[in-house]
Amino acid sequence: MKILRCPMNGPRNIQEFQYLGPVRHAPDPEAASDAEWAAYIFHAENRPGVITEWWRHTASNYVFLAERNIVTNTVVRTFDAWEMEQMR
Amino acid sequence: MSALFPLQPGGAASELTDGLGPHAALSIRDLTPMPRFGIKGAGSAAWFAGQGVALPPVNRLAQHDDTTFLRLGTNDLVCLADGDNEGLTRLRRSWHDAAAPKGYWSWREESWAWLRLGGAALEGALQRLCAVDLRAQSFRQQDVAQTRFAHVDAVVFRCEAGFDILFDITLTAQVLAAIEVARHAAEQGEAS
Amino acid sequence: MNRLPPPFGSRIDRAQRLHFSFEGRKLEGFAGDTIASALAASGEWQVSRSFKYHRPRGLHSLTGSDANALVQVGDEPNVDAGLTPLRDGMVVSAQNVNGSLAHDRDSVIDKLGRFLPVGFYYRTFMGPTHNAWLKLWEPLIRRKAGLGRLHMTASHPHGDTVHLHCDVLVVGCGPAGLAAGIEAARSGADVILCEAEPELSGSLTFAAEQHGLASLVAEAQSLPGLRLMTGTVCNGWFEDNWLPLIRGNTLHRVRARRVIFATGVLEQPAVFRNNDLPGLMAAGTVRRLVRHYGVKTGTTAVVLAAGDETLDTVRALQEAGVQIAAVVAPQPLSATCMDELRREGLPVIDGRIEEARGNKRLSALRVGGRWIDCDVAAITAGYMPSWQLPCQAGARLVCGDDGEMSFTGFPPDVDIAGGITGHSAHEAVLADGRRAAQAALRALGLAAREEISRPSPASKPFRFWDAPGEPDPRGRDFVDFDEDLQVKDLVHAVQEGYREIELVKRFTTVGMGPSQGRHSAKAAALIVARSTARRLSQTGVTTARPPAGPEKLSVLAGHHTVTERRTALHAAHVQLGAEMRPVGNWWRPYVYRTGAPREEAIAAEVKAVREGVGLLDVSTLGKLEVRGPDAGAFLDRMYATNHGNQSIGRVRYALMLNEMGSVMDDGVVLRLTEDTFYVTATTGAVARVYADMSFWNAQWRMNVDVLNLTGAFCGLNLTGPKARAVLSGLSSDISFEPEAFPYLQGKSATIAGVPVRAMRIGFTGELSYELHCAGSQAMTLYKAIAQAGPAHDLKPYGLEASRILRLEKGHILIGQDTDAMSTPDELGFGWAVSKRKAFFVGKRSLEARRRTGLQRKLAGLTFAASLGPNDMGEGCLVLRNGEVAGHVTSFATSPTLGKPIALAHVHTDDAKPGATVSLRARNGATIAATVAGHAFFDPQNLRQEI
Repeated sequence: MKILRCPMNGPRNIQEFQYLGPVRHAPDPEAASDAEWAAYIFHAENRPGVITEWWRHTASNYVFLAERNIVTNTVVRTFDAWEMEQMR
Repeated sequence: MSALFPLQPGGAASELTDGLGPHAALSIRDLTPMPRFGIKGAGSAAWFAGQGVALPPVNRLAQHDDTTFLRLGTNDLVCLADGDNEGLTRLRRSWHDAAAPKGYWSWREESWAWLRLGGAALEGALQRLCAVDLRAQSFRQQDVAQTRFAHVDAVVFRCEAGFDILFDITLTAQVLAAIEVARHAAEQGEAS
Repeated sequence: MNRLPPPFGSRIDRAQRLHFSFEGRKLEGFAGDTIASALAASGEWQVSRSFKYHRPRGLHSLTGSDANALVQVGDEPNVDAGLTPLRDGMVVSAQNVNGSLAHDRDSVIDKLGRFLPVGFYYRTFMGPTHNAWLKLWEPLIRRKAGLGRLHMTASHPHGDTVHLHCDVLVVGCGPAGLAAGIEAARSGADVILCEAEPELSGSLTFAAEQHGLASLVAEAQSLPGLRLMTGTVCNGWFEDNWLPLIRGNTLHRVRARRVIFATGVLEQPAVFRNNDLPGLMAAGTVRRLVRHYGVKTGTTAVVLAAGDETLDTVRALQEAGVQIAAVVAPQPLSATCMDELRREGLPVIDGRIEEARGNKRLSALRVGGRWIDCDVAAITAGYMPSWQLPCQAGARLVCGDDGEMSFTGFPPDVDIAGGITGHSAHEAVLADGRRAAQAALRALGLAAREEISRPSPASKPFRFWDAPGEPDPRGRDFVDFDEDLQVKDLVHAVQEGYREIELVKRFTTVGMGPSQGRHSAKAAALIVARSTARRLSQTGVTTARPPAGPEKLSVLAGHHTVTERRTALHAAHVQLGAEMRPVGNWWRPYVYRTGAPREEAIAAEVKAVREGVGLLDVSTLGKLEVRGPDAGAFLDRMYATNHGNQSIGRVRYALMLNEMGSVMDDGVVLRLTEDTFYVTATTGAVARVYADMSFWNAQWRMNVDVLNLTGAFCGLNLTGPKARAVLSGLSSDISFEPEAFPYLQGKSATIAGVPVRAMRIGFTGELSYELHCAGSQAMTLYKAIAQAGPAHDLKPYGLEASRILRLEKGHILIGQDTDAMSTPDELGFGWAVSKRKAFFVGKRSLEARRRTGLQRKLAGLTFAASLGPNDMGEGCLVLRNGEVAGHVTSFATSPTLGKPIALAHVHTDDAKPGATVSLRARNGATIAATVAGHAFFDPQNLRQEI
């Protein structure tokens, strides 16, 4: 079983986590057309390489981010959502 | 106002209390009725610090005057005592009297069952109940693990007698049954 | 008896006799025997019939490298006799036999073999009718094929699951594994040594020369940081060095920082006609039988030579008093080897074994056209590194055209050592073990020594000594014993167009048997290479996947744990005779049994609520507290309904959508203070609602704290016309009169001494008070209510009555009456969706979906006919002009109305009160139903608001 390193709880079996999907940036709901909005809801990019995604450690209810190479399934790093906010 | 917890007579899991007590191989003590409280959310850590409590880092515990302080998150703190404890009562009272911001009551005294495990077969039982390495060389005296234990989310930490486990109180019967299975297996099987 | 005197038989204890039976015959063995060795000692050389042709089969590898030794022991099928210790009283029988092992009626299939080519099943059993396969052929073939007999009544022991952690896991405890484990443990690493055999030292335990290994074994046994796990099979490698180690019924899930596979080599059988006759066995098996178990393997032997190890086989046979008729050498042997054989005066024949013959036991081998009489043959056509575990871990097996093999591409935390790398000289094997340990120690930061370079192995240790030739014209030259596959089967597969080895595997099933290619992969690869005019280096061997060997589902499953949440009132329900049923994770009272039939008891509970007062445990409801300066704004974003403008003490319906605009959950929100909201969620959805709230707020970063109180708080629903009368009889600090506590109000109160959050809401449609309190106080409150109850005919009611009561009122259950596509408009909840909020989850999608119009609506249906649950129910289709328009989501016969009622998705045009729709009943008949209004009972909502 894969190990995921939780920024708060350390390395744990991936069974302890809930996957919450890749980070997606919603278009402005007012400005977006129905087609643009539908693409945001339903279109999965699935581009090879490193993506940033949301995870939750269920026992501690801690939501964080991981950078993962979806081709090799290697987790490059994990970090707190606070860091994401700083990057914006 | 009389409180009733699952493993007390008439409680929701009271038919399983045969397994409790100072069993030779694996003793299980129910500490659910023991005093504790927790606060979480913005202001929690600052309020505790203001009370002169030296807070441990996240997922560590600290002890002051027979009270154990668990830090489950930056702003998620719990204090417990395995007997009547004046310090804890005083802290609780001053929290209620304090003005915000002071975090929010997290109802740990109602949401958790609290079991204390000890005995010769403890290591064998823990290996069967938890995938985290809880051996002394990997899991230190003041470490706290928020993990899966007996197939449920739980908080696990060391105490003098062995290990303390905190978990959703409505799962008491299930967890106790799983501990019984692990106790039996640990006694039968060789501790690896 | 074929037992040799001591010192032969290092593993057996002749003082302990064990009795067992095989095929009904009473036999004896010793403690330390395996089933296979005891059978061999008793002269039982035939142990099974083959999978497809029912040919007699004997012991081949004793190491799980073939399925020949699979037997039935009592209730348990597929027990590997070669690996399983003999126990007193075992009842052993042969598998795959129709009649007896000696006289198998299905052995005639062997004669029909040429009419049964590979792929035969795919093509032949398609007719005569379209489902002939299911009805005729499959049951027939299942009786003829398969392994063992499954006893449906057999009891299965629970598997035991143990989690282990270590710095270094060494798999295989031959000299290399021992050296590696000791080296690592000496430097302070925490080491697990895993060995499938009952003792350490691997192949040296059945070799003439021990190389003084006893001192290594003694050190391994005394080192404190070394855990020795013998009799333990490592059955796979999973991500991040997670390995299943199986010992008996215990599954050890090991997480290792570094893994060293020192699993040695696999002897490969030679391919020639009748190469499967009992008496033909791996050379290692001959040595094991003689030295481990003191079993004389026959009277006259032929040895197929493959390298210097041949000498040890010859020695074992000679010591056991077996005459050696010939040593057959397909390739030139080393000078040392030849000198030794000459010194012993043994005839060495250059050439291949061409054919074997015998009736259920080997009687002669043909070499160079000449028949040599013999009853045992020690066969090694060459070796293959035990590639499966390293390849599962990501290494790649590179094949040379001469059969030579090596690994590349190891992940950084996995290594191999010893014979698997090609080393065979003892000192080189030990040195390689130490090297692997040093590399691991360095990576773990436990050693700073210079890297030891990997010593190069002996030249071409894995090349073919006897490569498979062209197909024998008369067949029976088996490549895969498990699957009864001959050379021509693979050739035919290629002729059918399956060029790639992976495709040939799937068409022929080569390597798909219990041994997973351990004795067949290499030969099969070469045959495919030749048949496609390619080289072995181009075809490669098939991918190795876990499990490496057969494993029991009961071991993988571990102990069956039933998720069981109990409310604080569990004991009270049981005492009242409740029929407790699992609902999701919870155990809930379904109905309180009164001695009356169940349906009547449920109807009586419904009646009690409609006419008197009932009490339901609603503790399983999701309960959340949302607090903080942004709490109102947060709920406004999470829910489609308005909460930020909700006044303190007010209760509001709450409707949650997902980003797609579909309904996810509903509940109520009570504003306790300016910045504290008490929120309910449905029982099944609260875990998700809580996770979603946490997830969204990780993005929104609002100043709010969400607490899941589901387990901490209990809820009681006191409902019915007399509910107020019951509460008024309790000590309380609030008034329950309608002016003081009207509908959709909530209060913090103390009732019967218990702090309570009380809400006037009504799922049943009657006057209702929902009382929530801390779990430890729930029994006090419950008892106080129960005590006040008798004067007002209070009755506890269960889940089924609750479902009927809500259906009579037309209230939906999210998840039951909705699906992933349900919008608020379909459910008639358009009114609840805020029109003033700039944002809430699902708003934009809902707007888009509203523009496309509604395809269906949820509607209430009534029926003229009297229908039972066997006639109509959830899932029954709603039809419109012969097309499916929707389906029934809830159905019950209403005790209050005395008629069947249902909720169903119907076409939008039909969703008008009075419209008629047709439904397909369970028996296929078409039944008419009338669309009813919003509620079947009390549509003006007069009862709940009094």
